[in-house]
This record gives sequence, C-alpha cells and structure tokens, in this order.
Amino acid sequence: MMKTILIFLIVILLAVGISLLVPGIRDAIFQLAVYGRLSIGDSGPIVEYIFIQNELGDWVQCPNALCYRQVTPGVNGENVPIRAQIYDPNGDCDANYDVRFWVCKNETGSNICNEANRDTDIPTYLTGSFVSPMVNNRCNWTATYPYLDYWKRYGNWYINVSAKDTNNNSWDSVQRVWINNRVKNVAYPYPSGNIIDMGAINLGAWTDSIGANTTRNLGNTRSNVSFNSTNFSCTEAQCIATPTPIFIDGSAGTEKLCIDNDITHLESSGCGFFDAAPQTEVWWFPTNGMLRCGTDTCSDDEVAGGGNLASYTLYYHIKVSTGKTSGTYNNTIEIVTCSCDPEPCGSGF
Amino acid sequence: MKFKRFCKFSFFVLLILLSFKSVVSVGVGDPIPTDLRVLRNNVGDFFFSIFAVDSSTGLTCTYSVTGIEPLSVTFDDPEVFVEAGGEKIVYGTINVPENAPIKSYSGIIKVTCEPKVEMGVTGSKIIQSTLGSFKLSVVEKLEEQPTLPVLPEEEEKTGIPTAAILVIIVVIVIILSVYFLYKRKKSTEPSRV
Repeated sequence: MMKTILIFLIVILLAVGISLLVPGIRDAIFQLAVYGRLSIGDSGPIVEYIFIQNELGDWVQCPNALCYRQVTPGVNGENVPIRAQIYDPNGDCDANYDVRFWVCKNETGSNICNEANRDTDIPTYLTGSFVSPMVNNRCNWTATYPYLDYWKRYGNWYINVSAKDTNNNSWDSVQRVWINNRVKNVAYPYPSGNIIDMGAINLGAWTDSIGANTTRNLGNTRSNVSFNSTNFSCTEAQCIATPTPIFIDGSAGTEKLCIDNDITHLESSGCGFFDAAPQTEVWWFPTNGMLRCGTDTCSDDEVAGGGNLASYTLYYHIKVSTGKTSGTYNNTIEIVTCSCDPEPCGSGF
Repeated sequence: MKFKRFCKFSFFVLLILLSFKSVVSVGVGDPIPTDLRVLRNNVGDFFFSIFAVDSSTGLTCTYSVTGIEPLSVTFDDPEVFVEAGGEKIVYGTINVPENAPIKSYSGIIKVTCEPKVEMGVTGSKIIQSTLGSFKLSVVEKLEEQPTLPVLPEEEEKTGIPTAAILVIIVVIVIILSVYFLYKRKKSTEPSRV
C-alpha cells in the first residue's frame, strides 16, 4: 500500500514539475497562487495620460510645447478632440467604465479643473467614448470639446479626465494643462465688405464724423491698435499740374486728421491725431486696449456692463486747408495691432 | 457767373475720395512652440499662422524678427500669399551661433500684410501690421521631452488557455493514478477460483 501511495506522489510531482517548464502554465500557477493568498480585489482605474489633437492633426501628450490648439478668428464652436489612456491593474478596463471629461478656460482664474470650474458651455460633463480594446490592461477613451470660441481668453487651459470602474465604484481623476494659443486679429472695417468712404470734405474747416465703420476684436486677447498714416496726394491730371498734397503730418500747421470713437474732433475727447512729423503711431481708444468679445455675436465685451469696448464705430475727423485742387486723394494707412494682455498696453506687444 | 460760383464752391468743398477699397483683416497666432529651447551652435524650428479669415482680398504678407541678436531667424519663404478667407502657416528657423549667451531672449515678430490691389482700383491703401512677442531660450542642455506612450500590440491569442491546459494535465494525472491503483489492486487480489 505504501508503495502505491509513493508511486502516486511521484506521478503528481512529475506532472507538476513538467507543467512548470511551460511558461504559460507556470505563470498561471503563480498567478493563481498569488490571488489565492492575498485575495486581491477589483482595483480602481488609473488615468495615465491625456492627449489632445493639435492644429497639425497630431495626438500630443499634455503638457507639452506642442500640446496646443488655436482659434480661427471670429469663429465659434471649434472642436478640440481629447483622448485619455486608462490603466486598470485587474484588466477590466472596458466599455463599462464611466469616463467624464471637463475643460476649464483660462479666465476661470483657477488651476483646479473640475465640474465646478468647467467651461459652463459644457452642460455637466463631456461623456467619454470607449474607442479601443484593452491592451495590457490599458484602454483609450475620447471626447470632443466643441465650444472653443474665438473670444475666450488665450493661455493655459485645463482638461480633467475622471474615470470610474463600475465594478468597484472607485474614481480616478487627473488634470493636465494645454495651450490655447494667442491669436491677434482686429478687423477694420467690420464686416469685411464695407468700405471706408470719407466722401466730400470741407476746405478751411473741420469735416467731422466721416468714414464711420465698425472695428471688432476677432482675436482671443486684448489688443492695442494704432494707426500710421502718410500724407494724402492726388495723382489725377489736374493735380499733377498743380500738386496740393494734404499734410496731415502737422507740417502744414493747419491740416489735421484724427480718428476716434465719437463724433467730435477734440483731442480732449480722445481723438487720436496723425499730426506728428514724421508719422508716429496714434495710440488711442480705449486706454486699456481693445477688449475681447464676451459673447459669440460680440454683443458685449469681456467685461460685463458698460459699453462694448470690443466692437465699436470709428470716425475720422479731418481739417484741410483751402487752395486744394479737386480730385481723388490717396494715402496709405497702416493699422498696427499688438496684444496688451498681460503686457501693458502701449508696450509694443 | 455760374463758372465763378463753381470756382468758389470748389474752393471751399474739396471732392476728395478717401474710400479704402482694399480692406484687410489680419490674424496672427503666436509662434509655436511657445516654449522654444535651442542649443548653442544649433538651430530650432518654429511656425505661426496668418489668417485672412475676415479679409475681402488676398494678402501678401512679409515678416521679420528683431531684438534677439546675436541669434538670427530665417524663414522658409520670404513672403506668403494668403487667400481671402484662408490661413497660411509660416515656417522659420532660429540659428544660434556658438558664442551666443545662455539666457532667455525676448524679441518682436512683426507681420505686415498688404492687400492684393487690382489694376484700376483707386483709393487709399490700408496695410496692417501685427506685433507679437518672440521668446526663446538658449540652453546648455535640452531636457528630455516626454515621450508618448504607445500601447503595445495586442498579444496573439493562443488556441487553448493555459488554465485549461493545466486542468487537462491534472485530470490526466488523476485518471492515470486511479487506473494505476485499480490495476495494482486487481493484480494483488487472490484468485477466487
């Protein structure tokens, strides 16, 4: 009887020994042994990486110098595709997960991105979509943020991805920074089909409020706007015989041109004069720069209340001396735009 | 008499046409990458976008970078033409000489766009310039850029799972053992003849 039992044990040992030589079986045996001893429960998810698809169409891990998006001036509701890679040690990262995305704007003023600080265009959260089968206990989820509007402030924005394993009800939450690139764009006149027509002007007196047209900030930063202008000259036949340029650079002493957002030419009311010689930039209204729009239609600026300092009418006021030849006078006006956020306006940026 | 009145009128009212027929609206994005780091005696690439989204005409744009000497910037194209309503990406390269000081540089990038003026059109001309900050750092050593994790390829599934193989082996061993015991027992039993 003892001999029988001994043979039985030898057979068992041989079977186990041979099976240990096979890697798959060996792993399975050890795995079973570990689970058996430690009673490991269902682990929660770990959000490992967040990517966005940048302007070039590349998926870029954030944060990164190329982790950016850029608005198209004047365009609302552009998409920002987002992807998250989630790891689950138990290997049950699957479509049963609950994955939520939040995007937080720069002007929120907090570097904590969560549901409370989300861009309020997002109803509650962006629901993730399961996109790939699990590989090595990892899976990918995506969502698209469809509310990137031209007027929302440039700078560091945040994405929060929160994932819940429905098997154990535990959440993991990770946030990453991405760049909404700064775009400067002041449109004048707005809309683009308009023409600045100053029409007929008086001689020897002021002609006020001519060439009225709207200017609008279509970028995502406050901008300083200035104007340079050359003198006016006429190239028609009658003018060539008797050239009578209009010296708005101040050299004539009495001829002036100024630009403003109201209908008077008084310097005290803020009219910017092109009267320096040689021409210098006219830094003008408003003092703290042209604000960003605050709505899709730019019905208001970024600061609630008060006037709209992101979209308003500009007027020219001109005073031309007598003795000029009738005709079409031309010049060149240069509009110079630069950002003044956060740089102080007038600093040249 | 009429002629005199006309002369008097033209003396005081000048028919000046200051109609800006060529309207421009230029948008310029900050250079990308926003945090550019370059080694000495090396080059660094960047790009930026020019938009003519709200422009009624196509634009010819030129650009320059100043204020970062002794570094220099070259552009792939000296100028670009941006169609009305379109966008163009401009690529540039920063050249850092061997003796450039290790520090942060802050210059100005200026983009100037002029409308494409059609023959016969009269009126004033508007050009638009956009100034932007151009920042970069010359460094001694580049920090390692974060590498993108790549999900490994899915392992090829074998036909039979390892656990099943294990169960089969155990079952075979048990069957063989039982069979062996049964045979031994039978051979040791005394004959009932």
